[in-house]
Amino acid sequence: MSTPAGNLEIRDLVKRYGTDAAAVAGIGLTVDSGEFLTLLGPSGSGKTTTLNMIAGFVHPTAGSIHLNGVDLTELQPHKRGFGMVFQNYALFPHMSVFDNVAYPLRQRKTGKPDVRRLVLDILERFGLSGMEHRRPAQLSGGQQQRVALARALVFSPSVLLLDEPLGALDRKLRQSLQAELKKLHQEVGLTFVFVTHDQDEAMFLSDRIAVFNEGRIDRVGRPAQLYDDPGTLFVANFLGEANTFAGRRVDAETYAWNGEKWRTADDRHPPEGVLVVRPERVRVFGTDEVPPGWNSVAPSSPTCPAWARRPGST
Amino acid sequence: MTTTAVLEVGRPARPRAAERGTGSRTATLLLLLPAVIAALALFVYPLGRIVVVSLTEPTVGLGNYVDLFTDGYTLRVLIRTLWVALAVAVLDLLMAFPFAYAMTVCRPRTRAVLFTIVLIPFWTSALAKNFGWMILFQRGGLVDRFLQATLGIDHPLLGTTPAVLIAMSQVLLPFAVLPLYARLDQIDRRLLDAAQGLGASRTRAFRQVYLPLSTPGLVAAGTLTFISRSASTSPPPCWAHRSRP
Repeated sequence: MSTPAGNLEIRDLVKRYGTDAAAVAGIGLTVDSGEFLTLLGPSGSGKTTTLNMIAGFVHPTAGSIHLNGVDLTELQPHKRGFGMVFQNYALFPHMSVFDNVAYPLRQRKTGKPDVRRLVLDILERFGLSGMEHRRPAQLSGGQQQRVALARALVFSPSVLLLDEPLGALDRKLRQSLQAELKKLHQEVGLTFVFVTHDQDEAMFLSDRIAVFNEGRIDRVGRPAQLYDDPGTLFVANFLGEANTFAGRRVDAETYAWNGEKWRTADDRHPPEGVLVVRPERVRVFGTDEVPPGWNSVAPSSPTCPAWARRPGST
Repeated sequence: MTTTAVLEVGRPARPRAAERGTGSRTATLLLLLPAVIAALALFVYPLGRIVVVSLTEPTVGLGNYVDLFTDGYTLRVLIRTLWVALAVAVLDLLMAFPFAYAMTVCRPRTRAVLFTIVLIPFWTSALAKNFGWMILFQRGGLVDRFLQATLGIDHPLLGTTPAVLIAMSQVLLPFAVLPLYARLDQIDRRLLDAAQGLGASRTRAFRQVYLPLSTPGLVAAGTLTFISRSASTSPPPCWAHRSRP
């Protein structure tokens, strides 16, 4: 796995099926070398279509895809050289674990001794030694997942594409595999493009997250940045829990909502901006701490304001 | 006494399981009984009678079998039957595969139409099918006129081996399409994407992944057409009557 990590660039990508609304309505995105980027969004938001266009399974209506500056848009999937892990793994059921993992190497006409060495090495690395003769159906979900990863990485691709690879697993296994995946990314240093609809997974794994909404990217940013400063109401609601108050800013310190005046130190947003309060940031104050004429209001952190209702009021 | 005790300890819960086993086995046998009786009375017994008769009449011995293989006719017919059956099976698979494949990828509405097309031969009586082909193949028939006009072949198809192959393949196509479709529909199409994503061209992905996975369906369809064709008697004489000795 000595291949340098690739950097991907997506320009104005559009996918339209027939006359329907565009599945992907013009997105631009760069993925840096070695970065773990997650495409996050609800189902039907265009994230999987985008990944399929990167992989080459879906031809874009417009726009282009570049790997290390080379235009891939018209290239057949098998010539793009991405590693790919599919939802439900897509292991070949009629082949042994060994043959599954050897598959991409044999397509590349790797010599027999090298195939053997590389496959056995990577199986050992993924804790699958001794399973090379089994069929995929004889493995547990977690083992199948690891075979799929081994198969996607064995030929040292420069970018790994992952389409909801943990979606089929139960919660516990999912969590342990998330940790494995994160560790793997740090070890191999490859560029990962990961698709999920699970915000916790995205927050935990990603260097950056691109939040998809109705065929567009709402925002791209580091997980903490998107959480603290969501920018759009959609991102605020999709990433984590949010209490939203659609009032308006009166001045730099005051926000009015539902006939009440609340104090906030956060003055970054426009007057019509919706106020978002993360539940864990709420702090309750005693009535004596509140200045006269105010509701019990206080920012609990400089970037994220929070208020508590006066006891008894609704 | 001691021995008994040891034995009892050594086989916990086993007798009960065995009892349950016997119970269900009896039920199974009872369920199988009607079919077994029918098979014995209607198949095994008559077949056995034929074997016995073949060895005893008119005189005891293998005389009948010697005649069978030396009369220069039966053996030829047998070989031709197998050859034709094999050819029909291969033809049917070649036609059924793309058809069944199309059925797995098309929209549900199109699939319903394709299903109907496959099943039409089932709803048509054998007599109608036989005469239909005879009319198409005969001198002055549609096929004959078409062949004369396009290829200048001045020889009616009726009574030739190609006529037998064509007509038989048509009649048997549903037996090839249905089992094949049942199998192909089970194949996860994402596997083809996976193969391509891992570096296989479209053709290779098909050959290395799709084709091996469809083998059980091909075997079932092939066996079904081959067997029913090698056992078929009535239609071929209609289409091939000229070549009958």
